[in-house]
Amino acid sequence: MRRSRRPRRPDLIGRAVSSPVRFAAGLAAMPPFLMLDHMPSKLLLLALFAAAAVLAGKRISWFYFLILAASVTFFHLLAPVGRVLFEAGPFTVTAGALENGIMRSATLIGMVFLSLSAVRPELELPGRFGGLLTRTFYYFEVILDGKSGISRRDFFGSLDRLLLDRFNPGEPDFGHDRKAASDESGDRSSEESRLRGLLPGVLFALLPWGF
Amino acid sequence: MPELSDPRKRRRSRMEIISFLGALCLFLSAVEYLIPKPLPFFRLGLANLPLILGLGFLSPGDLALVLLLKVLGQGLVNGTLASYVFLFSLAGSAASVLTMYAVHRAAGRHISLVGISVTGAMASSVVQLALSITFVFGETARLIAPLSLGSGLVTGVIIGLFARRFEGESRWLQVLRERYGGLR
Repeated sequence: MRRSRRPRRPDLIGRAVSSPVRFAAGLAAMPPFLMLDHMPSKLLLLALFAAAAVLAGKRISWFYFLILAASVTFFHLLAPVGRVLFEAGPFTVTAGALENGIMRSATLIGMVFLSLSAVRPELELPGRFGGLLTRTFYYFEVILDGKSGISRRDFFGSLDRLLLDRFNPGEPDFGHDRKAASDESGDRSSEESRLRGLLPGVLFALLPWGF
Repeated sequence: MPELSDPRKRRRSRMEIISFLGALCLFLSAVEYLIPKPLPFFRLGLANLPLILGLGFLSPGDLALVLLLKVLGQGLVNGTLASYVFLFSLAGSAASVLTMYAVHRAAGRHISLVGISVTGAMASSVVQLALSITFVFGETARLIAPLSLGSGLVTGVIIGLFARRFEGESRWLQVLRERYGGLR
């Protein structure tokens, strides 16, 4: 399947901070952000998390988040709370409802930005299920490698051929040794120290607690 | 096709099938990004295709594993694992699979894949609507219920038609089913 390829943005955070540290930092930063009820501070943190997501190399669909914020605020305005700011026909805009809407949308969008900056696909989950997930990502890459064979005109036929080609159930153990597969896909965890970037990670996690 | 007598090897081979189906969910999720959306929140749910197809041959436990791999994998790939998006995805997908499984078991051959897909999509829409009311929009979100359920109905029909066609034509699925059946 052909698509216009835009150059991938570099993950600047990933150069300095390991995946487990940034994930832990992101999780630690969530509770104070959730509990914060001071609007300027919340909006400031929202901007910070947006910047972190951009630094993490994520492409943010600003239009999507704009629509999300507008719709969340709109639905809150339908239930009037507090002082009336103005009226537009039958529609009454109240200060409490407006504040509730903005705070709710800032919380939701901030959580997404924080998650975008904290979570990387190479994050390894522990245990047997973590191993299964790692295996799933291995196969994901295997299938993605063959995506050029997918055609829009014969989507299902080409997908079927690709899947038959990439997954050979006739071989014992499907011809894959876990270690070999892990080596093939690149054992990322061995390439980086799990605690790399601990100091910036701790500072990032502590920042929201200061508001 | 080789017989695997060692239970550990059989289990491992079963896990290979499950992880491959999970990977297919992630691949179809990536493909869906290439399809233009009429609305910002509209999702076709192409990634649910392996789950619908899996209803016919996977055990309930293995189906649940594919579901978890799909949801967690999407959360990791999209970076939404630690956000409300993940909660919505998990709750919607779980409700969908649970409903589809129940309908599939209860109705058997009397219901088509389109019917099963529609029930799953509607279950997902209802649960996500309830979460929207509780966590995102508030009580007034009831106003979007017709739109949400309507789009769920449309996507359910489309994915069901896709599933029916793929099930009828796919050689890979046939081989996979035979292989999985030999491992149980």
